[in-house]
Amino acid sequence: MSVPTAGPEDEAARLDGAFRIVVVLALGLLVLTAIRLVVGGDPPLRAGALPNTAPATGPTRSPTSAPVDVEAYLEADVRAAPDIELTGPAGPLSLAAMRGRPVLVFFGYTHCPDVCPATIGTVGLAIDAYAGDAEAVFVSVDPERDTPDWLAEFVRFMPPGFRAVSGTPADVRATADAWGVRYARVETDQPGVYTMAHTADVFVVDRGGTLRARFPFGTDAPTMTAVLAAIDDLPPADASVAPNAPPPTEAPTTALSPVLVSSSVWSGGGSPVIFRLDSAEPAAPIEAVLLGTDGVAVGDPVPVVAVRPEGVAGVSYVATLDIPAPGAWRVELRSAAGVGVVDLTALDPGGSAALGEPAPAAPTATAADVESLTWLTTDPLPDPRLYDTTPADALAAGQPFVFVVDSYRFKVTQQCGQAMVMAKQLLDRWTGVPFIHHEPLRYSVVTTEPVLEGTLENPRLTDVAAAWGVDDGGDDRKSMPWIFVVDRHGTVRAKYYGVIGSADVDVILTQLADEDRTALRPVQDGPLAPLAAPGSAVRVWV
Amino acid sequence: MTAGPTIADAWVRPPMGPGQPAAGYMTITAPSGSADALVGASSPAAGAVEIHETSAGADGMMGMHPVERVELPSGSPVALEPGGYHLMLMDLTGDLTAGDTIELMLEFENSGEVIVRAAIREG
Repeated sequence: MSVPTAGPEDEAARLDGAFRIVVVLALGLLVLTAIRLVVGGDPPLRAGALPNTAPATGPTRSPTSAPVDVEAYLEADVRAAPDIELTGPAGPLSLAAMRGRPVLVFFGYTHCPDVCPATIGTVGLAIDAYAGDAEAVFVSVDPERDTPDWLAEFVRFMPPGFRAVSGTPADVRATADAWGVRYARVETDQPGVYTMAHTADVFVVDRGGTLRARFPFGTDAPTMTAVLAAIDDLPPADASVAPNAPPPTEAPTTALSPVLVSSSVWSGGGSPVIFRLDSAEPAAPIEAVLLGTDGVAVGDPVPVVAVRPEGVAGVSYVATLDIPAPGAWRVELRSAAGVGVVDLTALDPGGSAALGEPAPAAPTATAADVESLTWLTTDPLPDPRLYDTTPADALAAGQPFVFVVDSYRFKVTQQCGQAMVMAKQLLDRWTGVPFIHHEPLRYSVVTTEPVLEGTLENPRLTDVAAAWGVDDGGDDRKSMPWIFVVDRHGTVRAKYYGVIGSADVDVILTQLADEDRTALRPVQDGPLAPLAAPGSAVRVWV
Repeated sequence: MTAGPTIADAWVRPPMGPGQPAAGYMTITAPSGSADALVGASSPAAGAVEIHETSAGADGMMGMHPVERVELPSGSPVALEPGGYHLMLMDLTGDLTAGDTIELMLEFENSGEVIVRAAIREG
C-alpha cells in the first residue's frame, strides 16, 4: 500500500501510530524470538553484529551501564608498536616521536562513507571523554586517491588533533603488514571506480610506545575510553618481544624491501605468492625460500619470476611456494645484492581444487545449451562472454581460463557478486582468455525468475561446484566467491576466495602469458587493454 | 490494517570532504504478516542514492558494495547502521549541516514509496 507524499503533520501522526505498532511488534518479536530459539536457525550474521562486542551503535547512544571488560581488549603478548613513518598534510610523521601520550591508530581510506567515518567519530568521542592527552593517527591504505593535498582537505572534517597520513604504495603496504592490517583494492561496476576493503581495528599505543590494546570495529566510545584509562594504570611494559609474539617488522638486512600483494595465499603445494619491492632500483630477486616464524628455512629455494602487466607501473614478482601448513610464515627473497623478508599468512585450502593439480573435469553448460542465460546466471545483465566456453573447450584449444564461482542473487557471503564484477573488467582487458562464470547453488527458473533450491542457509551445490570443492573448508568457508586461474595445460595455478584484490589475477595471467610466449608465439601480439577500462588492441592466444 | 514499514531513527552523517558521499542510517520494521524489501531510495539533497552493505570477509577485511535490496522480514526490525547496511547519498546538492534535516524517499517492493525526514548528525 503506497503512502502519498507526506507533510510534517502526516509524518507526526504516522509516527504516533508507528509507536503503537512498534510496541505491538516488540511484543510480537519477543514471541517470535522465543519460537526461533526453540525451532533453531540463526539469522545471518551482519558485519555490525560482531559476537562478544556491543552491537555497532552510533556514538550518541547511551552507554551500557555494565562494567567494561578491559581485559578482553588488551593484547595478550605486548610488544613495541610497529613504527609508522609516513607523511601527512602536516609533514612527516613518526609514531616513535609521539611517545609520552597514548595514540590510537587505525587504517582506512577517505572515500569510505561508512566504516571510516564511524571509526573516526567513535575514536573522537572516546578521546574527548578520556580527557587526557591521547592522539589519533589515521593511515590511508589508498595513496592513489589520498594524496597529501586531498588529506589536507580531509583532516578538516576530522576531530581536531587527528592526523591523517599516507605514503608510497610500498610504504603503506609495509606499514600495514607490520601492524597485521590487511587491505585490498576492490573494483566496482564503473571502470576506474574502486573501493578498498580493509581490516578496521583501532590499535592503542601507550605512552611508552607499547602496543597495548585493539578494538574491533563496532567497539563503542565508552569502552575505548575505559580501556584508555585502564592502560594508564598498568605497570610499564617491558618492550622486549615476547617469545611467541609476531616477528619484528625490520628485515634482517634491508637490501630488498619486499611487500606482499597476494590477497589469498594457500598452504599445500604450488601457491603463487606475489610481491612488489620497495626501492627505486631494486636488484631483482633471484630466488625465494620459505621460512618458519623461527627463521628456519623449510624446503628448497624456488626461482622468482618477474612479471610486468601491461600498463601497470612497477614490476611484480611471483614465487611459487609449497607451504606445509596453514598459519604464519615468512618468505625470504634473495638477490645478488642481498635479501629481504616478508610475513604472510597461509590459508587452509580445504577441499578446494588443488593448486598444481589438474582442474576438475566437471562439464559446465554454455549459452548454446540453454534457452536463456537466466538458466546459467542470476545476473540480470549478463555478459555473454562469460557463458560461451567450457573448461574442456579451453583445454582443447590450449588456452588458459579463469573460472569464476559467484552469484549475483544468491549471496551467502558478503563479498558475493564482486568476483563477477572483477571478471567483467578483466574480460575487457584479457580478451583472448576465456572467463567462465558458474553459479554454485542450484536453482530453477520459474517463469523468468531464478528460484533457489533449498535455502541460503542450506543450499544445494551444483555438481560442478562440488567438483571444484568450493565449500569444503570448514565452517568459515562458504561456496563463493572464488576465482580460479587454470593454465593452458589444465593445471590450477592460482585461486582466490572472499575479498579478491584486482591486481592478483592480472599478475597471474601475465605470468602465464609470459610462460606461454616463450613456448609458443601468439598469432597477434599487441598491448593489453588498460586495467579497469575497456580498451584497444587485443592479445590473442593461439 | 497495516500501513507500510515503519522507520525509526533516520539519520545521515555529513560527508567527510568535498564531493564525498554521505551515509544514511535507520531502523526499518515491516509490519508482522507482511514481509517487504527496501529496493531503492532518493533524496532532493542528493543526485543519487544507493543502498550499500558493509561486511567483513573471511579474513576480517571490511568492504562495502551496492545491494539491490534489503529484505525486511515481517515484524523484525532491520537496522541500517554503521558497519552494515546503509544508504549512500552521492552527488550532494548542498552542504549537510549537523542539526538540520533532509528528506529521504524510500522505495519498498510491496508498499511503494515512503518519505522520512532524516536528522543530520555526526554519530
